[in-house]
Amino acid sequence: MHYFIGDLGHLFVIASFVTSLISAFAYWKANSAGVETKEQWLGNARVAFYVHSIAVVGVIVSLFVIIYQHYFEYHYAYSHSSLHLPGEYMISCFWEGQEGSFLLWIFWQAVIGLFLIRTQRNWEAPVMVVFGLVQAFLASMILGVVIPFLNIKLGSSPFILLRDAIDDPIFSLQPDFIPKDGSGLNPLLQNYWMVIHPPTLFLGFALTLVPFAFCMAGLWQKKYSEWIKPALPWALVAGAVLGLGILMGGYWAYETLNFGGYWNWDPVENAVYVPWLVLIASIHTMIIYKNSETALKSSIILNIAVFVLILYSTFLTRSGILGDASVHSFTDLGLSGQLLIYLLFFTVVAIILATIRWKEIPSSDKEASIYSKEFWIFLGATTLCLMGFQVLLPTSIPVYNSLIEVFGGESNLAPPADQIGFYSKFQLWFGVLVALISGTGQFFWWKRMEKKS
Amino acid sequence: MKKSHIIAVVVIAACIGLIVATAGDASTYVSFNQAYQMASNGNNNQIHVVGDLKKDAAGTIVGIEKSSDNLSFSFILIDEEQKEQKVYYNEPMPPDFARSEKVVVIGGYQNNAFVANKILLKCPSKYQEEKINASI
Repeated sequence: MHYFIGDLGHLFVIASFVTSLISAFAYWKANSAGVETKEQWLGNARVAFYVHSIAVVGVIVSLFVIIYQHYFEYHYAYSHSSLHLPGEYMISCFWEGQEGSFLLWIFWQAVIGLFLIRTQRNWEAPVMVVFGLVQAFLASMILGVVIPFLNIKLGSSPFILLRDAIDDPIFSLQPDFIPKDGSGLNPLLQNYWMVIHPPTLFLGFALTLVPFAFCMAGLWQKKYSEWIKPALPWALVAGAVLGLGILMGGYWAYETLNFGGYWNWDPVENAVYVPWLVLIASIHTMIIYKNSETALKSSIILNIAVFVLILYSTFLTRSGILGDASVHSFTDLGLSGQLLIYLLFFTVVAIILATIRWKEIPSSDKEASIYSKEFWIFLGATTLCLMGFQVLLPTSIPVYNSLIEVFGGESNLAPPADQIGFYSKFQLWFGVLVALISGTGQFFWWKRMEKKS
Repeated sequence: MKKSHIIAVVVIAACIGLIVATAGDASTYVSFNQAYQMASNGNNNQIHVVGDLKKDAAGTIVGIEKSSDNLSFSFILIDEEQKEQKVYYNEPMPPDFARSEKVVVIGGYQNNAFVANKILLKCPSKYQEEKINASI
């Protein structure tokens, strides 16, 4: 039995959770502190975030050692790996489970956070408060700690032993029993796309946090328009990376699941397609703002919507709520409550902050002319949002059922039986509309037309 | 009327239209009895039925019949009202079918036989992170 590595990993998990909270708190204090103490708080906050990043790397290394050394006394190694698994798939077992994919997400956000600390001195304190809070929420998902007195289990640790995870009679006869071999990686996941699709997708997820964090920082610090400039490049990178990640996922499904197409309109696919659409729309409104000082309010709303939708998609795929509707959502690890709190926390905070500041946000009363590029770009962004709304409505059907049940009702609504036919019916025409509007927008972009009276 | 108001009205109208269309195209989760009644009332909508595969006392799955060319198969599903129903599926048996705990069939009654167009499988332990899909 190799207890040490698991205990070490668990210690790193707890350390990463605590340090992310400390870092968020210290950055918060740095925002409100006077000139003389500000530097001190900033210094403390940075150290906390550095320690947090080291702890995250520590968790990853510990978990990888467990998988690579075939320590099958650990549930994670037993249920995701086996002795004869080729090396590259050992990497994909790392993120096959929910805990590993959370780790991947935390890792990317830590990397981006370190980068922001280096490059964005003016924005560091408020932006990193948001980062610290998000990291704390994500780290709590893999904490695996039971809160005393309340008896609530917080998170699901990847370092639990097999005997604690699975109730098998052999463990009462022989507590030190170690299986000879693991149960192996799902054959569907033994595909090279599974080695590169999750890291790309989660990098995209992590990147969407940056524009949101800048938007929140801008509202909070009353720098209503300055946040657009640093946020826009990040939004562009996020759009590209998330889009690439989604495409890779489609290609994987095409190769292994015999869908007969790249896109099956499965709820899990839809859940990440919607935030991507809104992200692209938000990039467009931000570009309008940079050029013509209009559409600031829509940029703020869309930036908040993107992040909330990312959290919603996380909730949909990981809470088990899609159980009877999707082919490849994760099973419930008992995290639904925690995921819901994560979703609601940022939704409520963002909406409250935006509402308080709403009146102060500068907006222009002048109407965009039909002959201006801004008008067409804005129309395009609106169409993208409608496209997202159309997909979101039926994808959320299992959520409506659960909500109705919470209030004592009963609902047996199911997603449309012919998914591909149903979604194509709408998305096809939206696609045509987007093509026409982008064409018109390009025309006005390059050639400014004046309305002749 | 300002242009922005016109756009807002069009957007709101589109949203309402989408909600109505979604409500109209949504399917339902029903039991086999309800599905049979719907079919006999001339309602040919595709519906979802959730159920378990029939097992004998030893826990092995019984009732799976493959066609002679292995290109289609049928199985017995027990729905939540404990009604047993033979389900026909015009595709080869998905590789992990016999391992699944719970099955969702999407289809409907045709001439007193339940024909599935799509099957969603939920597999235990080994496949806990993934469900395997088989669809036409």
